[in-house]
Amino acid sequence: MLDSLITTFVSTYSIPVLIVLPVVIAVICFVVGNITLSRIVSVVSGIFLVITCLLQAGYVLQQTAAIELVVGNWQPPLGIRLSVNEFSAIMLLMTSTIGLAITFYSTKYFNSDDKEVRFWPLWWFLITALNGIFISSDIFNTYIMLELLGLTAVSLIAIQGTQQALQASFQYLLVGLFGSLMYLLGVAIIYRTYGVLDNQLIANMVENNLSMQLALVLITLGMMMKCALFPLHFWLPSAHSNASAPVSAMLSALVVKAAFFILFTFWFEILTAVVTTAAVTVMGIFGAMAVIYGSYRAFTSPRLKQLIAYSTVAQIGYLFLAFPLMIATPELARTAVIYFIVAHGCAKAAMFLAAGVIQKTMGHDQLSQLQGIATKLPLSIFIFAVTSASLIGLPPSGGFIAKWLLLNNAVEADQWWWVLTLFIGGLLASAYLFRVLNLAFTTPENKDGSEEKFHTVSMVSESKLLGAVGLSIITIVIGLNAMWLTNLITSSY
Amino acid sequence: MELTQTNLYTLCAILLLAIGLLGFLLNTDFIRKVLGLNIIGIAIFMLLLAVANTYPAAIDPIPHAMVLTGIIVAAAGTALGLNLASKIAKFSRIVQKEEVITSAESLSDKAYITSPNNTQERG
Repeated sequence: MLDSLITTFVSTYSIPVLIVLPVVIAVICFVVGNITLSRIVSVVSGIFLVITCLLQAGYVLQQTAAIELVVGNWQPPLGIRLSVNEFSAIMLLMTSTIGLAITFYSTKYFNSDDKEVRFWPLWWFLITALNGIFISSDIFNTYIMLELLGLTAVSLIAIQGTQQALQASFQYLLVGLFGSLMYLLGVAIIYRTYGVLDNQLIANMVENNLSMQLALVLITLGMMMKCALFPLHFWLPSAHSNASAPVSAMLSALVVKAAFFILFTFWFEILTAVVTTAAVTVMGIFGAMAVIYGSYRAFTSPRLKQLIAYSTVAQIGYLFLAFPLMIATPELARTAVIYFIVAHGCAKAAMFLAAGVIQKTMGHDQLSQLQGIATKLPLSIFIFAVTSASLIGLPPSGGFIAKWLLLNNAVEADQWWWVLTLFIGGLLASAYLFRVLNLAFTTPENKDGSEEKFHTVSMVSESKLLGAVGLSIITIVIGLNAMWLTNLITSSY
Repeated sequence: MELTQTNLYTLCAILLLAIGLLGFLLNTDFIRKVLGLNIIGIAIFMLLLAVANTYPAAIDPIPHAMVLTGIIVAAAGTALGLNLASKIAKFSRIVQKEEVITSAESLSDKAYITSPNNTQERG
């Protein structure tokens, strides 16, 4: 009885819930404008979304079939199709879980009501857009969701209100609008050539010709800007480091991944006929350069949040290392990509949340003045250390398994040179992350001035980090249960 | 290639795209950058309209829907961009004002020859 009830819920109602629920919550939060109510509604519906996504992911991975919904029963050439396959099911589950953790954190983060009133509606629109990108199976619908994502992300950075935040958000807006216009131009060219917008229909018709190559180049350019791949990463560090902590966490963990998801879908599901070995190798080289450059800049960053932002630039590079492997060993590479996205998403979100607490209690995030905070903020530093282990790729974390899958894959595909990048990247990551941990555990030298300051620091509660603790537990758990998860992912295609 | 209506529209779209790209990439001014993006957007809409007119006997409605949605998105993006630009301008105006005030003060200090203590307090 319960079984069939769940099955009907998942197969019929779970997709509309993913869009309708966040929109309704956003509108409620906007209209009511009451912080207490917004908090309660947000946490409750966050939990509900996690349950929905959990059921959905279980259904999709067990039945090994995608859930589909044709909006208004208008069939694809004219109508819009929404679908959840195994990749998007895992992305949705990750979005809702990280979203819930950050929602919980945000209920206690803001100290000005004015900011928080603006935060909640935008927050729920951002989740709507993320869900929309992951379930959309129509290239124009994806564009709409992409724009919604870009505009809400920009506004979320801007609510911080400082001059740096405003400038960073304006730069992000320009980059985001330009990126999505390039995407739209690609869509227009595809529509001009084939007259359809549905992912599946295009994939069936597409041939390797000049206009499709142009479309792929334009879409890749746009999405590279949005997911900050190496030569086009210039906007990311300032945008991610000047936003407030919950927003930085969401941007680094999920928003960048949404652009990557679109790029990945276009390369390996829609315009597969156009993709050549040379093209994927170029993407792989960009990825390798991103790993090295991002890690280097992270190492020389003077500020904690800037360091974490540059670390995101580096970690995005790893995802592109899987591109050249997709041609030789598609299944392995796909599993590695999914695994890496989840591991990095959880670790980076938790890390930004911990950094937010550090910044808030210290009043700044200058690395040179963070000596000895481990005794004052033990939980934050604990979370930072655990997530660092995952980012470096130490066992038994999820990051280790993700890197192991990539490494194994590179050897299987006879492209051992990517392994070198993995090693160098891991080494550099440990260098820049241990730089922070090292500082956190050293006792400050000057006794007189700092004693007094630290007494006030110890009063701060770290209870808002509950969600971040949950995320860091997830990063370890997905490392320990790696076989089960990878089998689940691989068995579904 | 003969000059049909579709080809004419496409040509216009390409021209507009070139203008928009140049405007967006070469200008450093905030407003001009936003305008450049708008022109790129209009170029893409023009391209979509050209697609709709491929068979003049049966005009395709989907590109119209796309353009309509695109215009709304462009308007929202422009509004957000202008709002942010004006906020940033306000910040830099405050900074400029402070600079003007401090320079005026230092001028008046010189004119009235106040005691060194006074200037120190202000600094």
